[in-house]
Amino acid sequence: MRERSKSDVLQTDFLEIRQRILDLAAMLDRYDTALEEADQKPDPRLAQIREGIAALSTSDRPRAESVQRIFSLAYDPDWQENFGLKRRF
Amino acid sequence: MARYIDPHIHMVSRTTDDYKRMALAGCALVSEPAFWAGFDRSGVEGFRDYFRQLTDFEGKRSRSYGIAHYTWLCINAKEAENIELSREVIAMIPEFLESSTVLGIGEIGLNINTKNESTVFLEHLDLVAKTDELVLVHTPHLADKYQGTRMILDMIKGDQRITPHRVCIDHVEEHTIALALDAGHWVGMTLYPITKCTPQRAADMVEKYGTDRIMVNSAGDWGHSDPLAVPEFIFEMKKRGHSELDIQKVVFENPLTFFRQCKRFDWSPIQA
Repeated sequence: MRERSKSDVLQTDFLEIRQRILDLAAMLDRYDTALEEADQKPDPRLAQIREGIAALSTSDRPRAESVQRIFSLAYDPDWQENFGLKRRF
Repeated sequence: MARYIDPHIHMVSRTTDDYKRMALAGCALVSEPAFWAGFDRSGVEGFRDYFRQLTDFEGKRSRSYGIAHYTWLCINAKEAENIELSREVIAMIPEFLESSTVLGIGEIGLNINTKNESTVFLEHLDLVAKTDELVLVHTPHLADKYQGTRMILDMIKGDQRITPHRVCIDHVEEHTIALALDAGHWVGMTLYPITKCTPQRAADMVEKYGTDRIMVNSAGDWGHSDPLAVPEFIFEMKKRGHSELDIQKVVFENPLTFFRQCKRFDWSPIQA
């Protein structure tokens, strides 16, 4: 597979990165300026969003995989026992 | 123009105009898994009619645009909550397994990772083992994907009659692709506008994991989807300077290699 240089990637992706950061900023502004409901309860999705944004700012890779895991339900290795399903073969 | 195969697309939900646009873009073959119609079917006869459509009528429609049509049969995970209906459908599937355009059992899998969905998945695997069919696996959407993919891999590994390289784990993304490849399976990346994978992220994964046992598809259906998503991936790969050989391997040779494990599959490009 052909490998690209960092400057090649930045040249191709810079404007799109800028656009997506701007989109994200506008979406968060939209949320912040929306009306608060009287019976507003904490929404766990907000914590996921905050955690996802924080994951972008670290130098840990792979970031895409980290973000995916933040928005994922946890896996329970004992799920088959909990469901009462037994290995049959 | 690059020729390509879309190994996962629901053409019964698309117009003939889509067939024409796909043919113009280089599509030579499609494979269409059985899936949810957007509403729950009222009984087993609804599935029988759907399987007749998949194994007969849809192939005639595609052939008039020079595109070969193959299919997969099952009851999908969204309707698998009804175990009684699922068992009736699974018992009926062998009636269609001699059809020359059936590639195997699919897209079986999980939706919201319930006990009933898992039970029906295991019973599909039992049919696979008894009939020696290929398998196409749907992995769940969004938050359920990681958990559901791990559960699916547990169930396949738990049935020692199933050969890993005869199974394609579909809709993989960054957090599930290595799990499926490491287990010896083929993988499919679905290019969806919002909820799955973009052509750019799919190209990133090909660059990271290589071109072996990896396919891309549109999973075009009745919802927001793009039947020309595979050509978008080809465009992205070309833009990055990847060779025609690497691109053709992912979008054409790999699906053929996977399908050729099916004893009924005898299509070759010159027949297109």
